[in-house]
Amino acid sequence: MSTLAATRGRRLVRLPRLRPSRPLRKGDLAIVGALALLAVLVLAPIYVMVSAGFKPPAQADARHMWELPQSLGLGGFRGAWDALGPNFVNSLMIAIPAVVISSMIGAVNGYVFAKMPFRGSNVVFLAMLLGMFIPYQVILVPMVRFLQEIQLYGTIQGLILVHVIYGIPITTLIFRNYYATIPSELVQAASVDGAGQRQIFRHVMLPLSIPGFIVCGIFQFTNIWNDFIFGITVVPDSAKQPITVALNNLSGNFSVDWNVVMAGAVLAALPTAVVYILLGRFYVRGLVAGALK
Amino acid sequence: MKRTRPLAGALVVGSVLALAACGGSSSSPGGSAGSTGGGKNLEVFSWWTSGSESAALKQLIDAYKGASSGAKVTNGAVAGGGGGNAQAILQTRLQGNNAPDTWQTHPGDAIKQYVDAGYVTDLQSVYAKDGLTKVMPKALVNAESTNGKVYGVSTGAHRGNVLWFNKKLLKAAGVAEPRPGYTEDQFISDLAKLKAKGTTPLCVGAKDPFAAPQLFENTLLGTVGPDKWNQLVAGKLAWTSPEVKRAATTFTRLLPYADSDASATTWDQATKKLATGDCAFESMGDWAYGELTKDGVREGTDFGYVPHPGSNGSFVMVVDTFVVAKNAKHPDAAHKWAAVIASKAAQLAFNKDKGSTPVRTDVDVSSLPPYQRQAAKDFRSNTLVWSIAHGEATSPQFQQSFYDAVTQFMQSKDVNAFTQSLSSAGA
Amino acid sequence: MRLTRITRTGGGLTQAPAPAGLPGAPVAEGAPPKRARRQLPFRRSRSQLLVLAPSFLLLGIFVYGFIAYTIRVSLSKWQGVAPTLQIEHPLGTTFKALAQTARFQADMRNVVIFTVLFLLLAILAGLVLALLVHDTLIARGLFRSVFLFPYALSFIVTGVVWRWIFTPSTGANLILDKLGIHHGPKWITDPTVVGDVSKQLDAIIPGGHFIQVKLGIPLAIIPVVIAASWQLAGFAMANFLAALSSLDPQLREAASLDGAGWWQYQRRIVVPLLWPMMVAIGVILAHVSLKSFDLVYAMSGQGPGFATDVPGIFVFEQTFRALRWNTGAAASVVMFVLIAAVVLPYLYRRTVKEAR
Repeated sequence: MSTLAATRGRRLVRLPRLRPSRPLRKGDLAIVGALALLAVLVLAPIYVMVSAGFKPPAQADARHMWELPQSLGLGGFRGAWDALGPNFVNSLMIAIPAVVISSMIGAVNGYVFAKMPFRGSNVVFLAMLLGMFIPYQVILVPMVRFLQEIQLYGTIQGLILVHVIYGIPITTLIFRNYYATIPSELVQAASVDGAGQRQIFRHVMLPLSIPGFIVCGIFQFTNIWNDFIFGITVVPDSAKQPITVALNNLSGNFSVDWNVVMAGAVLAALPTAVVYILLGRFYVRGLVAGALK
Repeated sequence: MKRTRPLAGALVVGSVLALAACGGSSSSPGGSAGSTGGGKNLEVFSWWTSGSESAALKQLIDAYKGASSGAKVTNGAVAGGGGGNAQAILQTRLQGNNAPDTWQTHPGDAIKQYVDAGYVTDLQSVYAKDGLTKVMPKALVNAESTNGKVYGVSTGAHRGNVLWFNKKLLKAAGVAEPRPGYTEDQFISDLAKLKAKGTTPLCVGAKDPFAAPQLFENTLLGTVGPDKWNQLVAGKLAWTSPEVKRAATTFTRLLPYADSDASATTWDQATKKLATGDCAFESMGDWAYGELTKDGVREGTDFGYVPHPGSNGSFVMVVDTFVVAKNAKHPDAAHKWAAVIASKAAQLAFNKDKGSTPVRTDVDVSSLPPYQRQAAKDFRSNTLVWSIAHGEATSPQFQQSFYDAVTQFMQSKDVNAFTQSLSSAGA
Repeated sequence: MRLTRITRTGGGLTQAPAPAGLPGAPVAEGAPPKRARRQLPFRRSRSQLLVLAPSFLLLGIFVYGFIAYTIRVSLSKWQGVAPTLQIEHPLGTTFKALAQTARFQADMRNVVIFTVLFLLLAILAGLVLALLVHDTLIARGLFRSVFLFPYALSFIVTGVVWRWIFTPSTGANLILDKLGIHHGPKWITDPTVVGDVSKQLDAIIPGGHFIQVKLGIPLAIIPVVIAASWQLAGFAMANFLAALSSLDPQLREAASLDGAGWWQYQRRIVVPLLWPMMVAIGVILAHVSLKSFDLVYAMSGQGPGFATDVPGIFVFEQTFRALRWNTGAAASVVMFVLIAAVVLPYLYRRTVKEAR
């Protein structure tokens, strides 16, 4: 196990790696067999989705869903990109700042609750957490009215603000749990050395927070990227809406080209999939560090 | 620390830049209709987002642009939720005093609520200029008017009470093709014959909330007739009266012949099943016509149609109407829009793509396919009634209660409870 | 400022506390939270409150302010296009009508059953996947990514795919047919409600004859549970994997020295250690399922006889289709109270009691 120097947070905790240092036993093959079977089950609906994207419109429906595409046509993907392309950028412009800002706020809040507790701080924390549990249909009208008051209705900044606000409870929760597992002797020692709170946070906690940021980033990115209801309510202008709204519009009320819709769904899910694959390893390691107890 | 600082810093700077970039291109709050002002620019709000619907909408927009050169049109269409998403946005915008210039709605009680709330302005000038009251059916103009003033312009009329059938399947089961004047009893005995042959007799796209209520209202119309229908929606005839109960009983006799997948099937899937020979009958509005042709089957050879049993001579109207906001940002453009979509040329172009019939009775429909020609003829000669299932005849509140009552009834088969809930539905 | 004297020993980030009873189990190094809190001086609250103030203010408006508004609407007369906040008398008429609405009763039944079944299946599946993935020696990263991938997809689209799968004439039944099971289940078209206790409850609850629906398990909700679990089991798995990864490998060795097989090791040692994490995941998943709208709406809609209708759909339709704003608001208040009732006890135990 590597040693973490407080001033050098760049090395993540390294997991003990299980390499097959012994010949494979029957039990190991059984485990892999079970996993493979489960993987087939899990991938089945995804196969339906992706194959429908490649099929011609007549074949892309429920009756033919298990069949392989008759011809590997890109018509579905082309149609989907035409409809979704412009909104793709919108989603990026919304998700990235919202994730970054809400994570930073969560980090600061989490640090306060974990390392600087004061009388009644638990009640305050509880009150903040309640925001996580509000059903969103409830607050649409007052939210829109309020955004209009502060002149942010219909803008992407307004949408970012909304995502940040409703993300604060969970990011605070994540960081609070994460910081709670970092030994407080670090903070003690630093303050004994004469460091002020702000300096402790910047020089001690932040460098150690990378796993927490990655966990937060993945949670928030998934939630914000796949959000539909805020995107459609806060920004009525279709040119500025995120990709989920455009995807929803592809399936109109009266006639649907399923190959385009399914291809669109695949396209819309790609960024999140990329985030998962790239950061998947860090994600697991991040949770190791106690981000969600 | 040396590595994390620049990374964190880059993220923060990047976000700030992104926000600033958004700031530069964001429109002023409360409006998104055309960034450069100009009285000709227009924002149109509807739920027509794909396929034949959006093509038809484009025809209207092109007609407007043609009549108002240099105008920009913002198309604020939003789909899904059975119109619920569009309503969500529309309602929040109306209450925030940020109404679109013109929006799509249904005639009847829906318009009346907007008028009473002061959200829409009257279109007397548009009607007067083009002499529209003479060429629009009276029922239509009345439904769009309150206190003698007319507030909406309609685009096209779909017919709700059509029974479609697959010719080959009927022939194989020895069932004669239905002709106008087809009765409910004949229908039920034909359904039984088909079932005996092993064919799925009736497809219902019950996953879509309107489909089963529509089947019920067609049955209702076939049983009680247009006059009693109008009395029912006007509140002059009780929902608990024996005629309605008879219609409800007939409806329960139809249900066993519906396909077992009905509650998981959307209306377009049900229509596709008819096209591919997986079921023989479907009671659906004539937007199914476009779907059937898209599925590659041809009228006359593969499929046919007849007014729903018992409703020959009545035309159930499913009409879309555009209203103009009272505080529209571009009032002149909005009035121009209303005038344009009421013009003969625009009506023809729109309905050609949409599959409905022009509401103006003086439009020359000879260039439209046979079904639409027939529909236009029926529209101009039949008794016109408003659809309940599509929110035309009654208030949105009643419509939702109607849906829920039918859903309940399909399981309980309790005629008395059903009619009782209908009579307290408007409350 | 150089803080050269601070170092950290390895093992300081052990996730799960090792049980003291096992031979050779090392004590968790690094200060557990309890000791830490007592070591930190309780500072004056000024700077903390300053830092927390913006979040508190924003949440105060966007959460508590809006809840208050919604409560106001739920007590008002507002139905239709023109907004009105005029209070309807007698107070709570809308709530009373709501309790007597058959559809809403069905919704409450459905959402509770859905949540219970979903929690069981998702956590169990996540646990099994995590145990397998953790112990596999081959393609661990690949399997992990595969099982996590569904979490990335939008509910709106997966709902449609699952609808296709669980339509009786296509999808799953076609595969069952090939396996020899003809006449597969009716899945989401099944209106059957199993285990109806409404009559018994009617007898017990005073005035209970307002119950108009069968209070049992609607079979049509089971496919929806499967779909939701498929999507979120990966999330549960990832959390469990993290906890597993911080388990001391010496535990495993000690157990096998004692003669415990793979299965016994998992059951006796691992699963009890994972219990706190299970509860945490349960709370997060519960709040997702209690609010569910997109997945159910796209997949099965209301279902036959409201077998799969959920309060989220009810609120949406009442507010934006029927324009019964007060009814929608009342249903939302009930939803919120339900979620709070489930979640608050857990949070209270975690945060307030931990401090003691």
